[in-house]
Amino acid sequence: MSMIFKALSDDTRRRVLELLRRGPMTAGELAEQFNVSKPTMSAHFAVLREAGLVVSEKQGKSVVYALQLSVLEDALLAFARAFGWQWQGGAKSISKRSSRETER
Amino acid sequence: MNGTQVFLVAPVKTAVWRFLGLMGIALALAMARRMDLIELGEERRAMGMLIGVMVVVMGNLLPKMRPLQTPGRSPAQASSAERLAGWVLVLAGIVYLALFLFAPLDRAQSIASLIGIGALLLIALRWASLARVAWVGWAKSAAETAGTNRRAKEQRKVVTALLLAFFYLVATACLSFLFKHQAWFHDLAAWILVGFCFIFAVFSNDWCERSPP
Repeated sequence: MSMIFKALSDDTRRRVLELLRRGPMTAGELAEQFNVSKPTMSAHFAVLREAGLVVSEKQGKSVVYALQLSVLEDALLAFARAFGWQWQGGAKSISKRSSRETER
Repeated sequence: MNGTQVFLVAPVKTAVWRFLGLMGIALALAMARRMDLIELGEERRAMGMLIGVMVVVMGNLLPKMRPLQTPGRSPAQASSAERLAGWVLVLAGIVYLALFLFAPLDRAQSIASLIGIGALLLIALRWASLARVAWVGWAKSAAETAGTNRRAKEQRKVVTALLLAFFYLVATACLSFLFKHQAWFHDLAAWILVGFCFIFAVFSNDWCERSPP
């Protein structure tokens, strides 16, 4: 459950989930909507995948993401969106993860 | 292992185990009643609460199992229909549970059953409108999808069986609470079973592997 709270605590990840409501999108299409670096975006996708909120499928050269929310997770997302939910550990872990990926 | 092994993703596995667990509790309740360990009224109330819990649990997991994501169907439409079904079931299940917890038993049985049947009909109507579109799409996309995603197909079969068993159980329980004392109820129950078996036969058929005309 803490993975889900962590995933929903970040505004970018919540916006990714909102975008996926329209239907599956490739990683590139999603990344275009945000003004952040690719490694940071990959880290956001990884957090969403680990929490089981999205599923990814490789199609040719691109990775397609699709929403996979239970009703409870959907309600939590709506709650988080309405109240601008923040989770302290979220930003820290993302910055760590993205710096690791940049180093690579 | 052999080639028929079915790979299940976590949400489907969770749903299968929870469904079986709740069925186990229902069987234990029925046995306890047979052995006169509990009164008929207590058994009915407990069974109603159990069905309410089952509707909430399955409704919550339904959008995660993505039962309508099949080739040839708009993923956005399918996703929206799955979310609608999930929300309808969770809300109906909460009301169902609350009625069996707090309302007098005879009133709880009739109102909860009407809510349960209403929820199932709403879902059936929404899904039927999608199925009509998908019927054409399946045939169109058959060639491109044939044999490409065996795991997904196997998984869809498990999800179809699980959801049909769940819908059959809820429909029968609701009708039983409403019409158990009617002479024709056993005939109706038999026809419901036949209907669900037919639907299962239709949906478990591997449409994707059919050659396009």
